Amino acid sequence: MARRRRLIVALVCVASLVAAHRPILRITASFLVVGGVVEREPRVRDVLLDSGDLRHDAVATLFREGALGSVLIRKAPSSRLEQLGVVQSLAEVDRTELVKRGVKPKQIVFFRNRSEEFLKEWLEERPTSVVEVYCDRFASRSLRTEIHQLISQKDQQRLRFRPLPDRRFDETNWWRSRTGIMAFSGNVFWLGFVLLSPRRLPDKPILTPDEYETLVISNGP
Amino acid sequence: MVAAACVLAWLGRGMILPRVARWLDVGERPRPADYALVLPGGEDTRPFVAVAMVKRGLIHGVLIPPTVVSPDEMDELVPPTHEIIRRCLVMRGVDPSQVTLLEGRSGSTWNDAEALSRFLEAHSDVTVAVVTNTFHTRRSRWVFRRMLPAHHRQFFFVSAPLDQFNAEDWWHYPDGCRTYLSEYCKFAYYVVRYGDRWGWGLLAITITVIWFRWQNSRDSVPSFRKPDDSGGPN
Repeated sequence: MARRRRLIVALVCVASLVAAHRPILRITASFLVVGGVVEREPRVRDVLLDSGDLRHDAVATLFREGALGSVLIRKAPSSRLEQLGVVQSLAEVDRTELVKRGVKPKQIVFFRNRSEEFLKEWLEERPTSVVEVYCDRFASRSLRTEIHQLISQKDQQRLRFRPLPDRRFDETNWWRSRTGIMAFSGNVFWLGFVLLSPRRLPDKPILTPDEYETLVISNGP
Repeated sequence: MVAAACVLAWLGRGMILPRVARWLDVGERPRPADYALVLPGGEDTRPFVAVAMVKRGLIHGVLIPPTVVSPDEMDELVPPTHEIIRRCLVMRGVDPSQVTLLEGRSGSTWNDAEALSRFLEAHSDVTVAVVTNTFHTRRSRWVFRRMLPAHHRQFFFVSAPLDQFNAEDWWHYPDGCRTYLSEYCKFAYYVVRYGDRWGWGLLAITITVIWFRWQNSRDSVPSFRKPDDSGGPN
């Protein structure tokens, strides 16, 4: 009798999971997203441009509304492909695209250290500045957690997060595409890392093309 | 019991985690072949391995699978991945005539294997060094062997190391965690999606039978009862 009851409970659980998989998956993905459409306050805002699909258009909208202060863009250490000139740096792409959309070059501020470290200094030096962080939708909670770990509670009040949706997927359908699944799982692992291991090691230097090829060949026959 | 296992795993993480990462790397040392196939993704590392092999005279040509278009490529913010690989090869000294763009559109490792399969149908006697990152070699080898069982002696895998982390320290970096843990998920997905369906069916039946037998044996163990409860004659 007990065995039969257990079997029925197991079947009911499986059937419920199958029937309710959409809301379950949607709620799970919603957990990764923080922030949203920011109500326009009268004051001008600065924007930290981290990532996100169609991010340049979003900044351009703010610019047209006359609400854009500075745009803060991280210049990461040059990759080998950038060193060779095969691709432009993402910071340079962002600058070009923003200027194309009318943003004035003097509004664009580049920085080299990590976003959270730079934001800490920026907010401390400008007590009235409000910063909107534009980022990938599913990356918003991880990024906010990482930034909040370094910034004082008082300064956190002056931060807004603007999670930008990807045109290929969102919370309601991410499991239907490979890119959606990869974005979801990658950001779950990132959030896990940020929550469990707040201390990050410093980044390692990137080898030059010559150094890298020598390393590969020295492993060879 | 579970808590003890967790504590032991935490204490031994310095020993366990490098092994977890090393298990994924089945790459071999660079050795002679006719071509190198540079798998898309990791454009900052993989093409340079092919360049090093060309310069060393280990290979005579490089194959690139064309890739599906991402939103950034659609908006022309970045060139297509296969074009980045080609430009990198040429800028590092590989002759453009040595670079071959394969047919098809690749959006996954499975598609890459299909592209190589088509190439090997037309060039049945060539050998290929498949170049990909360390963590990706095991899944790639599994996929390529399934896709090309008749040609499995014609290709081998060469690992391209990463700059930012390696098997010894990946868990200290967010990208390291993302990369290795995602790779395990992808490998599991590939095994289920593309693996032997008969094998999975057999495994499911075996687990079900074992579970029922275990339940039966549990229910048939006599429980302690008071003499009054037996219901028998006194």
